[in-house]
Amino acid sequence: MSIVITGAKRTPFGRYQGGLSETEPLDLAVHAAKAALDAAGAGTGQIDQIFVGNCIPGAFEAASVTGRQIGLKLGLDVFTTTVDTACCSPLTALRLAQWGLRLGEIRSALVVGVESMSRVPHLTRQLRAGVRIGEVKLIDPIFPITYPGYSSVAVDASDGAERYGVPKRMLDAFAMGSHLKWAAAARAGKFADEIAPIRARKGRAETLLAEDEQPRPDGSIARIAMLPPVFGSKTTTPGNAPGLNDGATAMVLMTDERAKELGAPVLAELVEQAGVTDSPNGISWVPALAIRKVLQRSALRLDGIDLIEINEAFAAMPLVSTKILADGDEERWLRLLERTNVNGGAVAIGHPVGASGLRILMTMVYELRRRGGGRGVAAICGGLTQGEAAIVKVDGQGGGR
Amino acid sequence: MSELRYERDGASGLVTITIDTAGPVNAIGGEFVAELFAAVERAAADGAKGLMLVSGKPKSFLDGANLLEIRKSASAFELGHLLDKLHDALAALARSPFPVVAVVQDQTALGGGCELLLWCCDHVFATEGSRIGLPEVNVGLFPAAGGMEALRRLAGMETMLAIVLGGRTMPAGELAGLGIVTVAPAKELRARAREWLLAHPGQVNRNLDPARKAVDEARRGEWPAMIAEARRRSCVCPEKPWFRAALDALEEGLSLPFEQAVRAERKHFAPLIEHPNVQNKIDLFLNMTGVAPRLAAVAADKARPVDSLAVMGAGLMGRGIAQVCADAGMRVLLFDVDEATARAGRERIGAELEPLVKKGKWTAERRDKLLGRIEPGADRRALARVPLVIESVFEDLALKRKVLAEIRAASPDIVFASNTSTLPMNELAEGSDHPELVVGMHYFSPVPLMPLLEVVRGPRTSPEALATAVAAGRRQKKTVIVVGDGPGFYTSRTFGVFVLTGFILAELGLDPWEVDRLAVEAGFPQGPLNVYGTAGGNVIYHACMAMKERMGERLDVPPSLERMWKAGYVGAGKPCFYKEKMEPDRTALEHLGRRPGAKPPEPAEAKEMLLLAMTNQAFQCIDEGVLDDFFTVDLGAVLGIGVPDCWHGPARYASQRGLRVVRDRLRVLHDKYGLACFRPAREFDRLIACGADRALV
Repeated sequence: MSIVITGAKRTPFGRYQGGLSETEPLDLAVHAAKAALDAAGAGTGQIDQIFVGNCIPGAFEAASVTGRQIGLKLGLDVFTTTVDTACCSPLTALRLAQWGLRLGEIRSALVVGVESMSRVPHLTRQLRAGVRIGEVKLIDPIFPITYPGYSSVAVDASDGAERYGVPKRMLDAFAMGSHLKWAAAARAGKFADEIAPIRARKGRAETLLAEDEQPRPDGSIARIAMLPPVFGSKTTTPGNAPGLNDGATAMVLMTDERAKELGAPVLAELVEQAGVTDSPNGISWVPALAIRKVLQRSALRLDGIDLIEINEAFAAMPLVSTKILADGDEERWLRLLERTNVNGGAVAIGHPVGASGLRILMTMVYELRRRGGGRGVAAICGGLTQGEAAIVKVDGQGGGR
Repeated sequence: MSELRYERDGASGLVTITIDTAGPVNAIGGEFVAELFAAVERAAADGAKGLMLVSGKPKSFLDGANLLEIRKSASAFELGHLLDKLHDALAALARSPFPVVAVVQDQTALGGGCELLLWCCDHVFATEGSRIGLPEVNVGLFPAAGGMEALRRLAGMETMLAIVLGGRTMPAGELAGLGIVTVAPAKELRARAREWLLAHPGQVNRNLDPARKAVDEARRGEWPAMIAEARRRSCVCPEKPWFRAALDALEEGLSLPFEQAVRAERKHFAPLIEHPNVQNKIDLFLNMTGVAPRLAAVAADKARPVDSLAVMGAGLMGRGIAQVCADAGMRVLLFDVDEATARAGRERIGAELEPLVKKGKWTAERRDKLLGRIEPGADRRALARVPLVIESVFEDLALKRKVLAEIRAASPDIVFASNTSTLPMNELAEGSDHPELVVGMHYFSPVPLMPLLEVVRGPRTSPEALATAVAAGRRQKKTVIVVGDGPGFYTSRTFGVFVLTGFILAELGLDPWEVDRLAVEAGFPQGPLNVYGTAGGNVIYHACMAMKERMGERLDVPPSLERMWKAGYVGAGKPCFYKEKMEPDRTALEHLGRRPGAKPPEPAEAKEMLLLAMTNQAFQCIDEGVLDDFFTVDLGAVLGIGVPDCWHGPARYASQRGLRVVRDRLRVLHDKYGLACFRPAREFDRLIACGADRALV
């Protein structure tokens, strides 16, 4: 038995306070899910369970059972599970689905990742007990993104780059490269495979968004390099980090038998997944650990992998992680980088934190298909250092290294 | 109105328009043009008896197009539209029934601002210190708002061509001879302007007056030859299309009445903005003003106050450094081997400024104040009174170390800045007390004219010493770049490769004068072999040898360099590649070797080799930690060592060709010629792996 991906779609990713900022995250999730179900040709009764990843539930009107809310809107009365492993969430949701499929408890699943960072409310706990006198202090949970007792993620990324000898110039170059690679892919129409255009209302205007909003391919490395570091980090700047974004992603998974029964199109095989942890400040290198673990579980070597996606939570993540995977050998490192995030990454496209995991996986699936097949590994880091990685395989003439 | 203020004096009927656009200097954008047109119509409707143009900015009357605005859209259609609208407004002002004057009070009227004066103003009242000019070619454009036509009529074809093609800006006094500019003290300007307006009702704009002929009408027959000569001089480099566009526009206008001639300039002017090299020029200008001051990021609070400093060595460079310091208001202790030599140095500075004072470019007061701030010294103990000493003695490591030791003895904690062009700070400071107080301040000759200062941070240089050097450089109004340590730092090393590649091309069998011609065609201000003579063969030879000693096989020094030097072909009075008036000195050929079996490169390849050798060297500097950012790469190369500004610098040049293409071409050249300067820098691999094949700067 193998597990196959039969549908994979996403909304375009919106800029902070951009075109999707007034759309409810629930609607984003439903939009992506519908598009993925349609692409898979999966009707009612053909999905056995829903798994949802989401990181900041406070952005929803009701911050609970997000999965069930989505299911009901889709008309799918099946059991739902909503998980939070920070940015790992959607790939963890995918892994839960994989478990269920492997156990034989379910034969198909809908997996969704969703995040609306523009809609995260400011918080206060003071009003619950009442304020008798004095100010009310509002906390912004996404400024900076941090956890009590730990450094902000911007600092961890910067420290990781320093520890592994990745100079700032390369962080900035990789960031600019992300925009340029995105622009080349967008010009070639590559994102049409994965993006389900969405009508969205902002203010009084309703527009059809069909493209990611954030990329700025007209910049330059030198301009990026002029930006000052943020949150007390040494090298993390707004230029080598993604923004705070809005978007949703969805995939339909089935066992190969079920897909055959239903005549569903097979985009790729989901070969293996793995989750890891490391010291809480290790977000920049944990994708490398996750990739190593998933390779080991599937008895594959990196040489046998055609494409790599490492989420650009910061430009440091793909750089540090590939350097580790290359065992510090510079020549090997540069060769790995050349096949990493080939159509750009979160620095350009954006990083709706609970949605990106499935985005990097589907971007890679479609690119493997365009290349005539092959294997790819996608990895993402999550807050306080958890990591998820997944290997996919697309059959075809060009498959495998 | 937001960019102009309109005021009408009811009693006299005179209208005053005060130009005050958004931004630090007055600039012409869409909003300004619309408002100017409306103001002219309003003045006509008000029955104005005269119109006076003044500026609300302290230092700027009106300084050309809003470059940010036109660069942002970079559209020929939009620029053409803006120009049409500007023509409409200026034409309306010129045709107005009332006289028009401008008052320029210690301000600048540049580009379109100057054209406004030339086309529309019946008279201009300016202070002596005001500066007026047409610098458009410096940003890859040309004066297309009547400037060329109006100035040609006033000053004659030859003068106009020199000003326009040279991108010149002049003190108002220099224009007084044209008959439309009156120089007067600031406090009299407005009153005299008012008087003039009231005394000239119904003045017909001179450009529209069919009876008024060009001042050199009698030489009309010579105009084509003058234009042809200008083409020969200015259009050598096809990468600078603005010169050709200017001359094409001028030629077309010769047979047309004034306004039609000006209108016809549009089709030559507007498309320029879409040319990448024009965009490079504009970007370079914007970066020089906007980015450069933020580039050398140092701990400014650690800088010692540099109201005074010492200069050690009163040679050509030392005098230049002393001059720019004193001109910027710093007190300078000038030392040389003895007090008499130092005193003679100061006198020579005065003598060298004399022609500027005579020509009216400098006031005598400015020179006298400057000289007053230079104190020739004998007693080294005086060094204890100043925070910084800049040494500019002969380029010899042992000598410089000796000077450093003497200075340390006299003033143990003075910041010691060396104006060496090649010697690494680390070697200089070796064995001295306080190596952390040693820093490089590499000036370019002639110091008062060259805008760049390369500050060199040695591996031990302290933030304090670095900040002090940068602060001193900024005070001297230099564009300061900070680079890392190494033989020849960034600029000398990259400049050296330019000259050496010139020799190598000659050794490969190209005629040396053809090498220089090709370099100029590629956009360089001078060819590499010409530079060898003008910069001084002695200096170049010693610099190259000092770098070779330290760089080993990373630097190829062709044997011909040594042969030329040994034969005494070093320029500056001695023979070299050129005799007087750029006549080739063919005896130089006797000292040039030929590479056995070499085939001379095709002209296109030779030009590319010069550009790629320098570009690659800049990227090798990144590999070695001498450089870290691409603004520094480009500004340093253009301002310091003559990399063609139409390319914006090595980083933009590589970006525009694409890094993969550049790396591939370097590999081909390296395989073909086996020269280290073409071994692709590792940085190309890193950038390409990062997906950044272009967009470096």
